[in-house]
Amino acid sequence: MGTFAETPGTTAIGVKPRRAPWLKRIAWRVLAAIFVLWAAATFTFFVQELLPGSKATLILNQEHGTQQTYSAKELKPVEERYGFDEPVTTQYFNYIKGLAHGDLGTSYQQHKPVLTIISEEVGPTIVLTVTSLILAWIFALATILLTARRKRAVSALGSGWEIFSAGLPYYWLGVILLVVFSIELKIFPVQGGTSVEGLVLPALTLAIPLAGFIGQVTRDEFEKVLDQPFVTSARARGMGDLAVRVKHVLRHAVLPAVTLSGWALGALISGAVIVETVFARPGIGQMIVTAATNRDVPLVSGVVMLVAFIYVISNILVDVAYAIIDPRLRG
Amino acid sequence: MSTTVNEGTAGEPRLLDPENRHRQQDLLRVENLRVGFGEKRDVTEIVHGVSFSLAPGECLAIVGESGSGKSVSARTLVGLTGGSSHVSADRMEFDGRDLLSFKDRDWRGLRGKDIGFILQDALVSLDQLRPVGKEIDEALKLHDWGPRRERQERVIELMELVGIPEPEVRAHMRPYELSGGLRQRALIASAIAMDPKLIIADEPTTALDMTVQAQVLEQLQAAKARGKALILISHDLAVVSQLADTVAVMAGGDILEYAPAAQLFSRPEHSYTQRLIEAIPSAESRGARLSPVERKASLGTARAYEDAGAPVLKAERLFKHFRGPDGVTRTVVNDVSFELKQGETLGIVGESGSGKTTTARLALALLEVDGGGVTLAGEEWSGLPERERRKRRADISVIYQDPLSSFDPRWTVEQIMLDALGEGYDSKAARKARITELLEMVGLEAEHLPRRPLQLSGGQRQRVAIARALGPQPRVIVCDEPVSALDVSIQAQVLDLLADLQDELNVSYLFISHDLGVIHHISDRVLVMCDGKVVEFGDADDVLLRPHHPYTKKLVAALPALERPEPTGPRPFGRPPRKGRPAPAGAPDYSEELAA
Amino acid sequence: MSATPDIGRPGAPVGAPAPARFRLAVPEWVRGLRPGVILAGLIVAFFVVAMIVPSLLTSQDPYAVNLSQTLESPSWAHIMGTDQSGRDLYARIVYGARQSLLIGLGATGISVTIAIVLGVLAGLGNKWVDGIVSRGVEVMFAFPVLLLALLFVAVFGPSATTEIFAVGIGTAPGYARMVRGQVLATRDSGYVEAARALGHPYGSIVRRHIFPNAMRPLVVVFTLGVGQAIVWAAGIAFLGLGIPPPSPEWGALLNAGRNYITQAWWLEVMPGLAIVVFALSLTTLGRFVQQRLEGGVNR
Repeated sequence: MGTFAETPGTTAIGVKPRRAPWLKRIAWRVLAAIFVLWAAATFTFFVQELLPGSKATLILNQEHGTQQTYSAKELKPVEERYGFDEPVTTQYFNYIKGLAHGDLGTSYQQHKPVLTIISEEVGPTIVLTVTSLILAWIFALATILLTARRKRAVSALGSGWEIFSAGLPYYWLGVILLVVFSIELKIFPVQGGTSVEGLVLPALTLAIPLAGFIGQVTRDEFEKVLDQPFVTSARARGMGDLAVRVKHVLRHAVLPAVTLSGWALGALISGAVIVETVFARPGIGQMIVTAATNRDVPLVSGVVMLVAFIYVISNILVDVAYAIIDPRLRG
Repeated sequence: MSTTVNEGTAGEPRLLDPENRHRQQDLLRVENLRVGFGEKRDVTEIVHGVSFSLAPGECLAIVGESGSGKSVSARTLVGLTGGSSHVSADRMEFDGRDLLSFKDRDWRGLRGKDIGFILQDALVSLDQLRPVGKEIDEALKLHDWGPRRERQERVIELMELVGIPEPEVRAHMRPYELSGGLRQRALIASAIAMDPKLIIADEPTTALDMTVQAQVLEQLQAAKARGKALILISHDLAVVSQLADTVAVMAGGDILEYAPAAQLFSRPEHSYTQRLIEAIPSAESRGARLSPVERKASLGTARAYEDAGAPVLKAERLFKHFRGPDGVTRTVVNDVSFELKQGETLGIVGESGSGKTTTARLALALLEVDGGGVTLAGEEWSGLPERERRKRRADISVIYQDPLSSFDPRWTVEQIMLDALGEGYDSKAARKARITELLEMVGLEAEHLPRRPLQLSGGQRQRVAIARALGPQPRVIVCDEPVSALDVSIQAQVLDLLADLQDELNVSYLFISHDLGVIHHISDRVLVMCDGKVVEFGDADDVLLRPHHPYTKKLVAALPALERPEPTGPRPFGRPPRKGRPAPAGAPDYSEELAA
Repeated sequence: MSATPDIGRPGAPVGAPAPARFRLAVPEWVRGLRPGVILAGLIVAFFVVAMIVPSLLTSQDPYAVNLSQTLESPSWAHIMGTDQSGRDLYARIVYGARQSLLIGLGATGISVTIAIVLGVLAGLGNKWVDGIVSRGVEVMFAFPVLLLALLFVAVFGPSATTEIFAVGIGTAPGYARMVRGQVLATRDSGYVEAARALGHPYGSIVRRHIFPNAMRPLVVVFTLGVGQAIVWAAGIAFLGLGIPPPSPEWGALLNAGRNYITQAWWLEVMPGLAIVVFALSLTTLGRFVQQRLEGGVNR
């Protein structure tokens, strides 16, 4: 009980948070983030090295649509162009160096820089992902505020819905929504493209399971916090129930969900791959599936690295948000 | 929450105030209050018809142990008994208003404005994420006290009223940034912000350091002097005796005794009240038993030790440093030395942060010392490598404040006890016999063996913990706040048990507590710690009745002594002194009354 | 015993429970069964039977092509309709259970093994070991399951093995973090310290206290994980990156049905339904078992 710097028995002024530890923590976070990115890149590179057979053969086969072997003379120009003839360590360093400069490699299939290809297609995916995250939060918070610790039936309903929706696969929910709302009821277009109407069903498909997940995590915390004495204190001052939930409990209860959101962004992008396929929506989803089927390794690794990067950045943002919400963590 | 008015049985005229407790000037009148919990058909009644009343400027104390229903009864007055509660009464009037007819909106208007409610421990009763100024302001805002600027001034005024220095700065701080005393004052300020006529304090001093307790009582006293009515809920009779005009003693949902304070403390009528008063450990109770439980016939045999005269546990110049989360290295144990002789109790007393628990763990060698050393039974203890130490761990055991967390959640009592036996038993039968013997020594039976700790009561769990500690036949038992979480009457039984065991087995205790009364009751010698340092050390009576160091003086002054006016006539109760101990000088001699 | 009764909280058991007057020898957990749990149990049992002896559950041949009955909607003859080659969908789902469940079990096996190794290392190790292993787990988190699968497919080509490894490695970090948390919590608990004070050696404490108490709540999580693994694997196959046709594996069915969403919705919805229902049943059962376990020990 009590902070470390206080002396019992004296009325000392409280501890003012010092600047240095706060900055130090940010610096550590950035350093850790760089480490994660480097490790991810290393892993990705070595997975590529595990490719059975020669990469040059693969490239040529993709180009010609064949499945044959080639002579060393035929393979040489390809190897030189992609740098396969150099020792692995050199390739590795070049790869890392390239990443640091934003060069994600060159696509085997399209022979264009991966970054260019991705940036052309990624727009609608980002829109979809961000919209889904926001929707998921809104759904989750509304459900919790309204159903946590109410009459037994209501609480159970809210909780049950969260468990159910959290386990729904994107491909199934998407198909159901598509079939019911687009095909049968014809409310939304089947092929929505990048329009706003075309955004609704895909965003719902991603948002509902995530809302269930966020809801589950927050609900546990919420109900625990509702029992805390400081909530009773607020009630004893005359605060109404909903006000107590919003003004006091919420801030305490969302912390685990905020942590979750950092991971969620990366997971949503990968979910977008499926959803874009179901709804035939433009974005990197279809592009990356085709790339994988065509064994276009640089393109796929490029997307993987991009997602890793987004994951790391969102985690840092989450840490900052955390410190804002809970000042005790500021050091 | 549902509230109803009791209908009298048909045909009978309903008697109001059958126990003649109401007076003309009463602010609050409660009659035949009943509270039950549960759904529809499955309602368990917790409070079985209690009545009380209160006038302005008076303090009513509701005293009882856990489960007595005291807290629930008080919460009915602000409608905070919870969603599944059913409240009914013949009468529940506050300031002329009928609380039984209140709806949600009425309650919200009443809470904070006409009745203020103070909970215990500001560390959990205030929102840690908000500045205290905001918490105080909340009460004003909720009742539309005024525009922002005026409210801010009022907040500062309130903070000054409760004695918080430099309120302009402190108002922006969060509870964890303030010291214990200051945040309790802030909590009080938030409850009295709208100057309510009635203040209810629910266990306002529990879990607080004694000096902080004293500050809280001071504030409540001041509020009373300003003409407020006060309801004080507590299990601590001593705290209550400082403030209360009337005392209601509750147990099992009934009020067993309801009397003016002076009368209750000098001539308690109900045997339960008597037992409660008796059970309070203090300077006066030294050498006497606290509970009416009989002493066990045979508790085992004392071991004879060759080095009987030498100290069994000796600590020399202990140091321990910790790095806090903010990077600052603090010296938690600062040059602490003590010695403990075989068969005696050394009490270590201090407030939170004093380093007493860390010292205990250093003595147990569960933590490595950063400086100095500990010897056990004359041989090196703290300097040994753990491999060597393990062989001698049988000589020193420990019991904790919360026994439940010290038991593996999957184990039964039998498994817990067998685990503590160690080597030296040939057969399963021998082991079973020994653990049964140990259980009997602490007042349990063989039937408790297959039970899980969760199925036992708090007192029974602590007994199991004591039995486990006795298993290896230790020379020293380190007791880390072993009774702090127990109800007064159970605490009394456990303290008696520990004393009996010491008499029989000649075991030593290193007894850690923040409760000066307990320490004074059970210790032969006392070590007072503050901020990691030893502030005073000596015989219990010397240190605690005639303190030298200013900190000790402050601690002793903060201890609420039971205000017992001199009794007239023979005392109707008494306890036999502990075997082999001389009665302390000045203690009343009961031997004649007992012999009669 | 004592003259003063321990006044416990109302309703809390104090001392011996009252002897029951008349009791069938029904174990406690059976009495706690609710209809939802029973249903879940039946569903799981159904699929397990489908995995072992599928012919018990359907008389149709999942590979039998019948071009006169293509794309028929659900009817009494074919409860879930037929696909574009006239094969009975229900039969295909039943026969596909084996591969799907095996993939799920395999992936979960890999995932759990990795998680336990990493989690225990991080939880029991000192600050440095914990730091390094936790960093490693962080790196794993940066690879969502699906993207990892896409990477593996790009490098190794589509197959069931790719599915298993992608799902296994991709879901491991989540479990690893849970294991670490549990191990840390038990390591710092009161009963571990009490065991140290009694003089038990470290290895014995890990074996008898830390490991059982840390793993116990996780057994259920891992069971739920099988359902999740199947969902993930099916997702990979849905994109065309798994087992090729005409396999009746559920993911492959999803992939096959993709082109017929507008004409024959049941081809996509039914296999998905099987997956969802199975995963949900596992979840329900898992929660029930968890409540039972905790009720007896930790309530």
